[in-house]
Amino acid sequence: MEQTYTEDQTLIQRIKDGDETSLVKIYKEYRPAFQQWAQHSYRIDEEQSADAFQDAVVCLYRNIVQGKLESLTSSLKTYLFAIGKNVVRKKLQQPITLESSELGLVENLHTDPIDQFATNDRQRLVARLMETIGEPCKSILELFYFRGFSMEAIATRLQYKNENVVKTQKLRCLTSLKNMVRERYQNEDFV
Amino acid sequence: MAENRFNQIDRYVSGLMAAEEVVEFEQRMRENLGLAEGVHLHRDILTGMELQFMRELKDRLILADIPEKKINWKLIALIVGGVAVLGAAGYAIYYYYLS
Repeated sequence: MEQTYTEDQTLIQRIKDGDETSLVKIYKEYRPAFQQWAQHSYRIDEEQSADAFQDAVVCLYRNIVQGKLESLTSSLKTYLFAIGKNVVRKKLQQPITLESSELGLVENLHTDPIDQFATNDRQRLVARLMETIGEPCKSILELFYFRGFSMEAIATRLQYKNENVVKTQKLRCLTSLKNMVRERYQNEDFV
Repeated sequence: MAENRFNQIDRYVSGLMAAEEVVEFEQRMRENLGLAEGVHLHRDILTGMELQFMRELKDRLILADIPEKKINWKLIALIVGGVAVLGAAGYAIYYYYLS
């Protein structure tokens, strides 16, 4: 039990440090059990259960890198299944009724399915624009805002002279993105 | 030097402002609609970016499901071995008739 806890904590630390293979390892390890459980419990098909599990792993990732999952009070599998349960129920639009043990686990965690994440058209437009923004903007913005890297870590990873250069580049990228949004948002029909 | 507006908005939206500064900043937002819209736009940009990064991460997970195409060394060895045997046999026949 102790060993499992240590292993889970190690995986979390590795993911925080930017090692995506640890996340893939978690994904591959728990996917069959989750899908079997979800298909049995919610009468959903294989595709739906796979989709929900992928969203749950993405939520797990966000919780880890955003520091919402610092120290585990249960196994990583229990967290992942509790998040997955929420994801399935939100996707099926069923009222969320969690057991008291699960409630405490996911109370402050991200559990939103990806397709329900955006709340307005401007956010969806930004997502589309991110596909065209190019490098180095994409990497800088992803490392800073999504992966939680410090400016210093980004400078090292992307081989910039120092963190100030990264800060300036990040500002340029965001300004350019804002201008693109302003321009397109006024031009496109969002009805 | 006064901090520029962009950085202030970024720190506010990212939750990196001190409590007293938040109160003062929100007061300014109520008085300045341009600032309020700037904050709203910044929030939408961060959410949209995150949405796209989440989608891309999900795509990478899906890719991890596809089994890697492994090189079939056994088949390659069999073909090379077969070619070698045929070559040797051909050479032996050629040598036999030549001599």
